[in-house]
This record gives sequence, structure tokens and C-alpha cells, in this order.
Amino acid sequence: MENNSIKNKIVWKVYLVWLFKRIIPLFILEIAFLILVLFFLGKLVFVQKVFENAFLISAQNPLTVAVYMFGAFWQTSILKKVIVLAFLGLGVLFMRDIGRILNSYITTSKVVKQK
Amino acid sequence: MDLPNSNNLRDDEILILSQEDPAYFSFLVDKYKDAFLRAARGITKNLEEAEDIVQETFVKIYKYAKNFEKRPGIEFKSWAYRILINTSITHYQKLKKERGNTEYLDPVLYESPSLSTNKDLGLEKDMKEGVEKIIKKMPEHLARVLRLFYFEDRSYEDIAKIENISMPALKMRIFRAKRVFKNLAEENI
Repeated sequence: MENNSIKNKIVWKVYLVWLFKRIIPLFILEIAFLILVLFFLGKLVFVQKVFENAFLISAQNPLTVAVYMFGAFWQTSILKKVIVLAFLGLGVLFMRDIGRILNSYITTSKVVKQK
Repeated sequence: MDLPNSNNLRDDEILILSQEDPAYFSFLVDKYKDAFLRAARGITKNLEEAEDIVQETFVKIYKYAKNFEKRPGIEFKSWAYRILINTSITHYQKLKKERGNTEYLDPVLYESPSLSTNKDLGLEKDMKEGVEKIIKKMPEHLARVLRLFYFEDRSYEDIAKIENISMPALKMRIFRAKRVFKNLAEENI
């Protein structure tokens, strides 16, 4: 019992080390890049108008939103395409890391609960 | 998500996997925590201190896993024990600074240069063998008190009775024995 409490303490400490040494620095970097990309996206693309149009179209047929978005992306300049892709890529990485934190938290909790 | 069975994994493989998912590290904790606690308790003679040392040791093992990955050919067990011993010594030195003269760990025995440079230092058994080798070279009456105190865990009172000497005389004998031990250990470097 006593040894299990030591195990729990160690496992949580190691989880925190992993979180702060490996994941948080990555998170900060990703957020910084996301802000940068969003800044340029806001400057180059009239985002509000794009979403207004998408909303109007979705009222008729929700499936056409994807077609509209793809069309808008296809017709825009290379620079804007790159920025949109960078935004999406960073978004995916960000979500992946959130998934890793949650997944590892759940696994660690299970390990700690095992007697 | 559940972790796979650790039976097919080597310690170094678990250490690498734990860098991606720290939950894997629990396999190493399960495998070594009892042995580490015994070893740390053997050094500190105090359960609470031993637990602190073991926790610190495991965290260091995780933090410095990269150092181990860079040194192929070194066994995980031996590397981990070395960290345990070094952590115990650091812990002892810190306590000594904070509380003055700390009795629980004998620096003469555990900080002896000939032992700390020993490749197999990490293994408590090897350490005891190293100590025993030096003790054998000592005068019998000094060797006897050290053996009783360190290997048989006898109290001062017990040893004084066995040796049929007074407490101050025993303390003086142990002090002299440690000094002789230290000199012999340094000669063995």
C-alpha cells in the first residue's frame, strides 16, 4: 500500500515533467505561430465576408458549404493558400497535442488506480 | 487507452517509449521501486528519507533518459543504480548542510573515492563487497566494530557489550576505524 503511494507520486511527477518539458514548450511555439498566421490571415482575407457567404449558402444546402469553401480557397492567390494551409496544419498539430495530453492523462490515471 | 504488456519490452525500450507517453514509465517504477527503496533505506537507515531519494531518483532517470540513450552497451539497471547512489549522496550532503552533522549515512563508506569510481557502484551488493575488501585489510579490532555497525546493523549499545568496552571508547574506536578505512580506500584508487 505504502509502495503504491510512492508509485503514484512518481508516476504523476513524471507526467508533469513530460508535460512541462516536452508538451508545454511545443504548445507555446504552436500558439505563437497560430497567432502570427491568424494575424496575416486577418490582413489578407476578409474572413467575416467569407463566413457570411458560407452561412447564406448553408441555409439552402449545408453540403454546399464545403464546395463553397473549397472554391474560395482554390480561387485565391498562392500566398493566401499558403497561409490558410499553415493555419490548418498548425490547428491539426495543436489538436494532436491536446489529444496527447488527454490520452496520456487518462492512461496515467488508469495506471495509478491499478493496485 | 490501455498500455500493452511490458513482459516483451526491455528496460531501455520502456524508457524510450515513456518519452512519448509517460504512463509507460510506471513499468520501470513497478520493477525497481522495491529494490531501490531497500537500497536507499540501507544507506539512509530512514524510511522517509529513502522514499524521497527514490522519488527523486526516478524523476532523474526520466529527465536524463537522453543521456542513457547516448551510451549504448550500458545496462539500464546499472545506470539507474548509479543515479540512486549519487542522489543519496547529494541528499546526504544537503541534509548535512541544513542540519549540521547528519549520522544516517556514513560519508567515509559511501563517498570513498575508490568506491565512487567503481563501475559497478550502482549495485548495492558490489558496494558491500568493495567495503568488505577494504575492511579485511584493517586491524581486526577496528574491522570488527565496522562490520557490526554497518553490516549487522547493531546499535552502539550492542557493540559496546560485545566488545566489552565503554560507549566513549566504542565511539572513539569507530572514529578511528573510519579514518583507517578512508586511508585504505584512498590507497586503493
